[in-house]
Amino acid sequence: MGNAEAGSKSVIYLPMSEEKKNSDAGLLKEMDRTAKLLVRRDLELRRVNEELDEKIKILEADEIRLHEMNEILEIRLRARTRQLTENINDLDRQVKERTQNIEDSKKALSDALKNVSKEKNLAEEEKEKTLSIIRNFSDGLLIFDVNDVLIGINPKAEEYLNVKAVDVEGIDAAQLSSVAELVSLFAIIGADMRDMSRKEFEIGKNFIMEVSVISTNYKQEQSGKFIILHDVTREKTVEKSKSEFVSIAAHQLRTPLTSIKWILTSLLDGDFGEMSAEQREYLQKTNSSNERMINLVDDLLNLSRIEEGRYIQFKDYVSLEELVEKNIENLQIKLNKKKLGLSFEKTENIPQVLADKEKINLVVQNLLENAANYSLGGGKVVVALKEDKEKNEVIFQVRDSGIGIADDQKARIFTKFFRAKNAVQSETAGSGLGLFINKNIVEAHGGRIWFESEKDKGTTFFFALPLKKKGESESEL
Amino acid sequence: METVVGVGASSDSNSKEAGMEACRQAFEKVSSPELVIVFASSKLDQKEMLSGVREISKGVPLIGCSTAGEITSAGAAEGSVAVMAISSDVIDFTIGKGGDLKSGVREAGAQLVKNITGSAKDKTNCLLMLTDVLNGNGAEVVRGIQDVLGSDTLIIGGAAGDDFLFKQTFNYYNGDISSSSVVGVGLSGDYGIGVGVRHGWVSIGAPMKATKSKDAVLKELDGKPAVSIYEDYFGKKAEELREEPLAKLAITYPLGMSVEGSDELLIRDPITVDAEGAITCAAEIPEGAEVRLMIGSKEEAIAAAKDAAQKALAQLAGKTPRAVIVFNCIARRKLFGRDAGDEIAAIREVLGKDVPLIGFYTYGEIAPFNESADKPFSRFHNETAVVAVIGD
Repeated sequence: MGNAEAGSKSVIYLPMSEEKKNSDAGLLKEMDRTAKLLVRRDLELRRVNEELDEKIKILEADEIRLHEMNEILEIRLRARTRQLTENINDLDRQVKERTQNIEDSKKALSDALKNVSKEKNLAEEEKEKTLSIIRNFSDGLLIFDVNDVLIGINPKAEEYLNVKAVDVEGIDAAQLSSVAELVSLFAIIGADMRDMSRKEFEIGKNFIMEVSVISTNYKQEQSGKFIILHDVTREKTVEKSKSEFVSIAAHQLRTPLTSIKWILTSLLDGDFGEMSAEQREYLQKTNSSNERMINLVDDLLNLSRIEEGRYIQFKDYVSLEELVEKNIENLQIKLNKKKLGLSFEKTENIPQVLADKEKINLVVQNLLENAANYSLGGGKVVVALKEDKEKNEVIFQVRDSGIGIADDQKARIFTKFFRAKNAVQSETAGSGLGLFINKNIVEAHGGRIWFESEKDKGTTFFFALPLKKKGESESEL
Repeated sequence: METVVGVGASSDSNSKEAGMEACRQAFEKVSSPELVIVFASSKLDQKEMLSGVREISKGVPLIGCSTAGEITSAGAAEGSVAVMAISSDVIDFTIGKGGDLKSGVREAGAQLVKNITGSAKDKTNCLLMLTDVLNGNGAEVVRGIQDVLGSDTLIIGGAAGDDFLFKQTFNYYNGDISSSSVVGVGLSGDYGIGVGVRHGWVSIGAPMKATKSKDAVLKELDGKPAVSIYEDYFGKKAEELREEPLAKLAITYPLGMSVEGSDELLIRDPITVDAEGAITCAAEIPEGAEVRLMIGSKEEAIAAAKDAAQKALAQLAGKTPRAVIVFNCIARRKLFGRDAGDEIAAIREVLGKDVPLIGFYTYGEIAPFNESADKPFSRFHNETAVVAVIGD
């Protein structure tokens, strides 16, 4: 304890006041006070230092972290830069490709537009041509789409029907059928516009049309319809004039011919005295020619009446059985002359038919005479009359043993002024009007006429007339 | 070259990797090491760290301890592992271990010596020891050693640390890790060794008398509760000083007492304060001793370290320094703060920068007091720098 001062190096040397120098206790007290002051100051400094050290340590750690982060960031930056450079290059490449593609597309589009424009022009031309044809078509045309809506009407149809395209286009058939100007047309074709061919109808006075309805198909599906109006007024007028001429001419011929016939018959009967055999022979030939002329004129008269549409005059119940028997009787002289046999077969209780007796008589007479005329001598004529209850009609048939009709001429057998080649070559005279007249008469009664024939073997003519029960309306015919 | 020494260090955050890396570095220059010394931070996983070291060192005898900071040629570090590997033709190394300090501090010290001398071929002329002061009075361990070895034999060493937490320290003995223990290595053979011991703290204020004291517990100074010295000088209340271990605040203001045969006062660390104001120190303060408050400065501390190194070198008597081992008090690290490396640099400047150096910041140092090579009477020190240099 006594060597304490000797053993330790004292660093505290402080100047002291004069009074205190003399006092050891005072000195020690002063020293201790100063020491405490210094220790407290030192402690504070130490604390500050430690805090600083801590902060520095944190800062150093931060610096290290920052340095590491910086390195990481730099690496990332480099990677990123590389990536971006690649991306930019890639984008650049893509932009170039895209630009090229767009250029190509543009060119292709431009080419396509040119083609389209060309096609369009062609189509326009085609359409224009088609429209031009339709517009200038001499027939009237009405064009409907698949829904029966009128999509086109040409000027001729406008004229015929007295309508304006703007008023009727875009309207369907059901509505059109009630338009005043079109009522008569739709009365013929119906609102459903079923296909039909050349049906005649009249618009206004002496204005006659033939109307046809035709469905159009596209790729096997119905695509629409069109109506064709064909003006037949002129043809009809000509035909009528012709008929009128024939009728007048025939009447003017018929009267003198009848006078001639009356005079010739009187002469031949010896009313004006005896004639030499030679005179008689000429006179008989003259009479025969006169007869043929009378028949011809009668046929012509019938024809003109048929064509005027005023042929069938009145109707009554007629017994075909009686009518046929009477005609067979009248034919007897001719049959005997040609040495022809004739048989008449009939079913029982054949009902009467409602008919124009005079006209039906003409048919029966004509068919029987034909059979007699064209049968070869020594042959046989077979006549039959029967009722077909199933079809409710009476069928007349007459079979000859004549020259027959060639196949290539069968189709024309009922046409006007037609005579089969072999008929012309035979000695039999004929106007070529008989069968035409027959057909008109039978059909005017609602009946049918047809034939079966084999060349050189003979022909069978048939006609059938419908049976009407008594009391059934006559106006139906 | 008769003695070859290598040093390695690693701050790897993976404890095992750190141990392996430090040992690998130490082994680079030493082909067949005979002794491995390990100083490692208590922050590391002790088991992993030591297994890492042993994976490289294999069966080479190993001692070491946990620290409050590691010292190598590179300077001062925290949270790292430092490894020294030594092979020598002239020195024989015998490692040993004492019993549990809790079952008898002095006995443990004695047991350590017996353990070593029992295996050593020749007479042990130096003992390097590592102890745990959290579980037993360091001075008492030294006395236990001296009971067997005699007071003439050189004893150097340090008390293990735990990074200023004062909770648990560890000693390493080959692959074993233990607390409350003492381990050591005895050196024998014909070699040179020098030891310098200096602290550099200076007294301040008026001297006081230890009026009541028992072993390491200083109860009264000048008839007042011992803690009053710190209340007076720090201007703080006793309650404030009790809040944390007193060491945390007072370690750079230790107590000094004069001891016969030394120029410097012997330093005693204040560790804790009890309710009566009694201060428990790191080693005993005899009743009647003159006690003074001590204060330090970096300049004084560096000068002291340099002086210690010079004294150690002088004791080698011309032999070449091969290895330096430093036991440096944690208080000094606190004093230097970030500049702790300056002290190490000063030591290396004296002993040669190429000489491998290892050491650690301790909770107490063991070294001779009178610095006489002829009559080395070792004692337990506080707040002191002990520089030991081995040469051949």
